[in-house]
Amino acid sequence: MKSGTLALGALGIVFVILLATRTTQTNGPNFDIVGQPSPPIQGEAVNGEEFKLDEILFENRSLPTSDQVWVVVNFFASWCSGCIIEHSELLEFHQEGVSLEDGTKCRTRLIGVAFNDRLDDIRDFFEKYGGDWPVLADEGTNRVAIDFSVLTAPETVLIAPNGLVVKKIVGPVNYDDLVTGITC
Amino acid sequence: MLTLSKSRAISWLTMMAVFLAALIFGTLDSKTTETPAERAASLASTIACPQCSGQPVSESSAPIAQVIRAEIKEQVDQGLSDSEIKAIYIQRYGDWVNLNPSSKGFDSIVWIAPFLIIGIGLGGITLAYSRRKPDLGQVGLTSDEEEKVLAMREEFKENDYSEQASKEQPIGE
Amino acid sequence: MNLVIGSFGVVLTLAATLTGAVTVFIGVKYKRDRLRIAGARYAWIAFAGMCLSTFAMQRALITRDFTIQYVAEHGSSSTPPLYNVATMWSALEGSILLWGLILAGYLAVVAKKFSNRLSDPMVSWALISMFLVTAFFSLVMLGPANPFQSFNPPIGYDGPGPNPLLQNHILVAFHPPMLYLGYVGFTVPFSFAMAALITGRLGEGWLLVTRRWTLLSWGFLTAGIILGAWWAYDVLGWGGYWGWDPVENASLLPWLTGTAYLHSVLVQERRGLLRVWNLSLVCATFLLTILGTFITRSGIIASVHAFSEGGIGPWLLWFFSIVLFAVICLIFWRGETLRSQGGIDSPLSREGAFLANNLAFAGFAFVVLLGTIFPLIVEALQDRQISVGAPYFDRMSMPIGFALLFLMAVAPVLPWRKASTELLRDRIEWPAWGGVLSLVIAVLVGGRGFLSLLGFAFAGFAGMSAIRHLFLSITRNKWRGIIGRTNGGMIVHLGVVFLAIGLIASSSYLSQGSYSLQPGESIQFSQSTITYLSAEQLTFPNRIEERVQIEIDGKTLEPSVERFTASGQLVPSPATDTTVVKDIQIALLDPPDEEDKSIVIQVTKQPLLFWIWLGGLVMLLGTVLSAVSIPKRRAIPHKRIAKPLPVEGQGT
Repeated sequence: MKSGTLALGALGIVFVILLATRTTQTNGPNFDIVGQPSPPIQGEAVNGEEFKLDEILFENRSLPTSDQVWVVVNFFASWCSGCIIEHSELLEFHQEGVSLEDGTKCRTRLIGVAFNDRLDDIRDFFEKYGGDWPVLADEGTNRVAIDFSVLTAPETVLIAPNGLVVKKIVGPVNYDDLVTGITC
Repeated sequence: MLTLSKSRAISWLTMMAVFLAALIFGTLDSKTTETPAERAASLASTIACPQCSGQPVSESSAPIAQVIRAEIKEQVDQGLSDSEIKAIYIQRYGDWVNLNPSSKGFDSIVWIAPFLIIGIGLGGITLAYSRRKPDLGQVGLTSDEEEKVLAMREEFKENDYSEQASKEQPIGE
Repeated sequence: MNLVIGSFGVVLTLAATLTGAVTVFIGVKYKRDRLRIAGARYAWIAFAGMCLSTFAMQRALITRDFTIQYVAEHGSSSTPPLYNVATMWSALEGSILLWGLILAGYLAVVAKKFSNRLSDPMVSWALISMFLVTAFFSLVMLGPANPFQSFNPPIGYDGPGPNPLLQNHILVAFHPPMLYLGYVGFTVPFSFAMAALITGRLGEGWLLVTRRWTLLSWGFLTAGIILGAWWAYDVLGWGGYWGWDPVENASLLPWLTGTAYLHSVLVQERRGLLRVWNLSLVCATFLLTILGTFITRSGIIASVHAFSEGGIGPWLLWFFSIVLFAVICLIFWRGETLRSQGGIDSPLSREGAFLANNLAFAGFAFVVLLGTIFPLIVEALQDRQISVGAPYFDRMSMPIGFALLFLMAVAPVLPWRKASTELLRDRIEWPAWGGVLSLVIAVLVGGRGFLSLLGFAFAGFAGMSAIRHLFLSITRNKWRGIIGRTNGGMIVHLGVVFLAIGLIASSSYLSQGSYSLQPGESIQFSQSTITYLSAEQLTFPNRIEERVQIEIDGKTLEPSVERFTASGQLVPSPATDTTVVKDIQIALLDPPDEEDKSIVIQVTKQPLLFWIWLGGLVMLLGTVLSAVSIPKRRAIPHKRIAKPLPVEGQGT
């Protein structure tokens, strides 16, 4: 009896230590995409524009470094509070662009990819908060989200002119986060 | 030993026959092949929706779950095997997307441990039982004692019969 | 104002429970009866404190007093009134307040019921234990889970309201309180078990006095779990009612050990056996309620039900460790004196069946616990993330389910001590026919598949065994044949049989499909015709609802999707048609747009699903009948608690 109780006690201690050393669980965001060539992104934006990432990358190949375009892809949804918070930062990025220390301006394109969202709500969102960059929101966009292993909104990805994904930010971004890493 | 009256024995035999007949019929009559839709549905219940805190894609209304369900249907139609389809999602999101723990390696502990524990429990109980049980050996009668008992029985019968005769009921089963 | 009353209530409870514990302790140690009686009065003060706090919280919620942070975070002027009351337990801090209220309530009732036996050290120690547990929870409410923190609301502030999933179904008002009444109720038998260990009076006494409490708690817990399953079924839209989600498992674990305990005590009452089992089971049940609360609220396991964490994890884990330590120390101290005198005479006996029952339930609890925490173990040892989900639990619970049904059939016909095979064979004949009959019926109505059919056979086997007992009992005692512990228990078993039949049928023969429909279009689904009739949009203060009308087999169902304006969350609201024979559920996956009028629906058909709820109802009926005393039988004299066992070198 006594040995059994002692064994049980020891097991109990191990069990408690196991529980005590765990951290809160969230399905970890997947950063494997960083350093890989970007998956294709194409579709019709909410405002009717056609967007094709491949076209931009193709053009980049025949341009000098100072003229090559960096692409920022912002995965968002009109109902997510973090997206509302980061929206002003994105606006700044879209309007101001990126200027380096020596004054050169790098070319950037910002596109939004909506997921788990509806057209009407996306339109309302942009009317309310401003911004006129293309937003992809057709059925194929959940495909894009899967390709980029997007777990939840907002997530933002920076694609270099040669098509490599160089950065992925999970959670609301700010202007500085977006801009660091862009050179031309 | 088990002593059975004839009617009870027939009753039991009929019961077992009916049981087996119904069970065998019911087992063999069921369709053995899974339609592709069923296969896709059962696969979907073993793959977790990436943003849904552990729910399988078959039980989530998140659009990403709907997309993955549609993808699985396509993949089943294309002829991919179950393990190939699962491998696609594990490679994309990680091991945790597979809701069925693997039966190989360390993870197999989760399948084996319960049987082990119950086995140990049964073993422990059997051990305790066989140890504690006092030795109820058959205590036989010596031949002297046996004779005495027979003699007493005869005496008893003679005395009794002379008084109670036909009132006695035979001791039934 | 509410803040002051509420915080004062919590402090009052903490002070009262600590003072009460100390007072009764001194009374026990120095054998001062006056102190013990005085100490018991503190239970009422503690309860009053919790009532005050609850009153303050409810008032704040109903009047939308946003100066209290909890209301500001979870209340809203657009939440319907009933749901405001339930908001109290829709988030962490409030749920602890509910726990505290119920715990203090049980404490006060225990003090009242045992008020003429307060001079008994066992009662005193039980009270001390309950005081300490209540003190812990009030401490938590002053620490990490404080429901009464102040907030400075900006002008025109309106809260977001509770999580949308918690404000669209009436069961939010019943499921958590029922569950808590069950969980918290097990504190009472646990406290008496601790008292038995401390005083050394390890006979049947502590079991007898807590018998009704255990039954009551078990009943509430059962009701709470079934209501939770019903709620999930009504709201989710997949026809699912149990997902083996970690929080669901957390509620099942104490139920499993609690059910084993309910049965096992019968052996100790009758024959004085299985004492270690009973002590272990009741302590395990209490510990599992604490563990369950920890899992739900610490966030270490991802779950759709998990509450937000907030520092309460470590507190609960510490409490768990301290209680575990205390239990192990006490059992270790008592050592061999715990063991029952004598042993089981034969495995083929009622005692043997109950022992097998204990093993089966303990095994089941082990499976559920292992599956739930295995990902944590793997992460700790190998730093990888894996999941253990429904496929594992479904597969493992099947053999155990069969074993339990078998035991349910066989145990009631086994006599105590020893059974001959002839006796068993005679008594088991009718139940065996019941099994065959249900198998034949199942095959005749179209059931197929080896395991499902075997399941129906076992269910019929168990059901007929219960019916046989009830039949014999009614012919002998007329109406009294259905009340009392054993008879009520047989009715509960019958309920379990219905439940099992419902589970087997609905999961084995489920048909499901998703379809895209244009307005007016019809499709065929599993022998039914489904037509998309019309759609409409309805606006409510806190949400916008897109509702569609679908016709199926002549009936009209109206599934909808609700978008809650405060959080933007989309919540589906499926429509269900229930008959005794089958359930059809339609969920609206994709509502119509302005441009695109087509919809996507998911249809699920499950036979005999209603039998699950029917079974639950019969189980509860049986529980109530179980608690009623048979008037003719002489009540067990209260004062007779088992004499202390001689323990070498240790006083009573």
